[in-house]
Amino acid sequence: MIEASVGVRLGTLDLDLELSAADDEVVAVLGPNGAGKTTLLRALAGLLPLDRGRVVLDGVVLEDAAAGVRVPPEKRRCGVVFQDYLLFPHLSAVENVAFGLRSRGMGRRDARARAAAWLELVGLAGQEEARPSALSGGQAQRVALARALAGDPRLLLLDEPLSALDASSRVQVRRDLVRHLAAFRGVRLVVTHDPLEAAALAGRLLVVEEGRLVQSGTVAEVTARPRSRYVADLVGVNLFRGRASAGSVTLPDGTVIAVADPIEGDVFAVIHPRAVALHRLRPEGTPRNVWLGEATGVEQSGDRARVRVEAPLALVAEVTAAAAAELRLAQGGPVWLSVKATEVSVYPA
Amino acid sequence: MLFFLLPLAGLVARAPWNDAVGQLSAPESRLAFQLSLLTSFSATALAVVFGVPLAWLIARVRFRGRNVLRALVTLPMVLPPVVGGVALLLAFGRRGLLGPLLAAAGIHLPFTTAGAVLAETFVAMPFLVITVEAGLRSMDLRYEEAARTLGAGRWYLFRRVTLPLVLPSLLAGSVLCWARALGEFGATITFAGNFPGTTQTLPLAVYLELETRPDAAIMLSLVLLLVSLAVLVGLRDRWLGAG
Amino acid sequence: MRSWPGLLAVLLTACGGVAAPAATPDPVEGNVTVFAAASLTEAFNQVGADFHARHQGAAVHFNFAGSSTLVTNLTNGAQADVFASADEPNMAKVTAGGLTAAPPQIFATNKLEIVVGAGNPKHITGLADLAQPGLIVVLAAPAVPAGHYAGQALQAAGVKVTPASLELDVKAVVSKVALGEADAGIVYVTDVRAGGARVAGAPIPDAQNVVARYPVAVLKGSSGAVAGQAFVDYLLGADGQKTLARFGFTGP
Repeated sequence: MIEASVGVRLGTLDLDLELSAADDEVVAVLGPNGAGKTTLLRALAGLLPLDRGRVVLDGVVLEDAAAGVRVPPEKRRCGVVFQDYLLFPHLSAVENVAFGLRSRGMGRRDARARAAAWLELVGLAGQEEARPSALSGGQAQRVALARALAGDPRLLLLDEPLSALDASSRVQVRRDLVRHLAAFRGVRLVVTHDPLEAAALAGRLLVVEEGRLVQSGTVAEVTARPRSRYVADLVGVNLFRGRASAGSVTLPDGTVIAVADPIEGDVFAVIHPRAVALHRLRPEGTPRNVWLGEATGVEQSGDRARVRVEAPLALVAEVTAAAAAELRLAQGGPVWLSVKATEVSVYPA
Repeated sequence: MLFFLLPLAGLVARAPWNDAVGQLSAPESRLAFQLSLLTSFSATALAVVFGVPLAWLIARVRFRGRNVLRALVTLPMVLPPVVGGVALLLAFGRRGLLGPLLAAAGIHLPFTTAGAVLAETFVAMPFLVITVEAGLRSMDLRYEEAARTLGAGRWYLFRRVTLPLVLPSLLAGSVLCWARALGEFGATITFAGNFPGTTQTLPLAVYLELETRPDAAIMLSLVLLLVSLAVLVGLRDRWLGAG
Repeated sequence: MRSWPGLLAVLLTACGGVAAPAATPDPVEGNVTVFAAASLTEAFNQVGADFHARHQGAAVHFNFAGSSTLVTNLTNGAQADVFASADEPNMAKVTAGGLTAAPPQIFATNKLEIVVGAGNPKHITGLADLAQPGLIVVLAAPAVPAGHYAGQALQAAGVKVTPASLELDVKAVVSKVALGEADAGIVYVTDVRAGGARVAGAPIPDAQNVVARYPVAVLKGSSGAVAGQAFVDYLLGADGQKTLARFGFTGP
């Protein structure tokens, strides 16, 4: 079980967040590049001192900035799988895996035997004497994992574990990684910028942006109710934030969105691109949200087209390629948008 | 290319091949050869013992005056060797800065083999320090971080990660240092003097023999050149490249 | 190259200005390269300056080193106009090599002297004292004339000395003694005088001493042959000899 409040200032990054994770879950820290995910990981591993905050693992205080307590990385029982694996180039695979055992005093023979067993566990029996340069990406990743696990850590940190792999090996390796992670008893934290990776590996997501925790929850919760533009973009929906009152949400710029939910107060409003209908002439009919906007670009993919619209709201609409061609949306220009109030999803901010 | 080959070709052409063995096994030649081997290897050993920590200090530790220290360490490389010899005299000579201290300890350096070793170390150590420093700098520090997360303490880390990774640079630096020490002339003769068996290293012997026994001088020069060549070829690109 | 003084004289005369003597151009002009034994350093620098004052179109460039080193350079093709050696055997090598334009002539002689630190702290009075245990003695290398002569003197005195170092020329011996690194050395009387206040001397009696004979010769195939010959003539002439004597050399 880990409980941490991490405050680190590094260059332009000001990281300040709290997290906790139990032994029985895999938590993914998801966020764009530069959000502070790797910084968080390094701080937990002890490679970066905290400016403010506290880290407690299984009841043991690893670091307390205020009290001046700091356990150095070599004394924390923390296994790290680095983004580039960082296998020691001058050691063989089995020597790499045995490193964490020998550094803590185990004899050469015993350490080697244990390391060989770990290599077999990750499916690399027979590769003991291989040099890291001779291993494939997937193999190196498994050696790195075995190396981190061999030392029997209480906390397992993985930094973008699949990003160094090419697309073809990624799927298989990901499947194996899910298996290995499931077999590990201890806190498991995966840092990634890839939502697919996060969704595949983890049960709970922590979304970090610009050094702050913006959302936390299961994959389903986070994708159903994005609370930041970043997640909204990942999921592919339009996100707005405003004040709800009596069936409408008022955005900061004054635009009003009619909603079917009687919710009040500070809210997020989500409009799926497919819920947006486009017209060249002002539409008749039931939709209570009708705006005149400016189409600025069209992106075609297969038989669908994503249309960017500015003003009065910036949003993306998704229509069929045929419709886009018919309306000559590629030329841009004024276009009418309509969205049914029932298609707008609202939830408290 | 020709610039480097012609002198070698000249030596080979003028060498008294029929009497080569005789010239080389003459007592003065053998004495100089043995002495040179002794002093150059001793100088290299000293350079490693003092130079590696120095290189580590300059490469890894941030402190005020770091750039000054690096400049001082490289100074012998740009100093004319004779000037280096004079500097050593002024520091370690009988009337030098440390003279009285050394005399009290019963140590006398000028005109001794130890003095020759010191002179060679002085001019050759910078080569080792610079090479090792470059190797340390170019090393990916993240390996050390990875090692720390795996439980390695400072000393274990240095022994099993840093040192092996910097080994190519260390070897290349040692070889360069040794070759420079072997060829040292000006600082040796100025600080340690010239006496067969004690301080007359190969380069000094060559210089003096050139006037009285030119054939011997040519043979000794050839030996020096071939040994250095063999060593440098043995270095090969991968060490120089990896450093 | 026209010599400027000559040209100026002609111009002035032509302008009816200062009644300068109608000067013929000085044939002694150009650069003269002189290879000379190290012991001649101070004396020859003065001679060179005086020579230049006499023949303003000529400039003398010196290369001072141990005589044996200079011989090696010359026999291997170094270009010089004049060679002044500290002993005859070294000059003989140059003559034997066919490098001289005319037979060498002795222009000066020198004697050996023991050089010691200022104030003679070790109280050296003669060659016998050099054999004292614990005394640091440096000599010039045997190939260098001074080293060869020193060996002869020691033999004549029946003294066995193991030097701490064999230097490449006499000046290096003086330096080591002046710096305090060596207690004593054997050099020429001219070197002790040139060493000034930094060193002192202990005499070597004539019975044990050697007379160093310094030959000089103009070298063949040099571009400054005329000027070179003029330099040698100056050296052998009254003015040159007076200068040499001032520095402690004795006549040929």
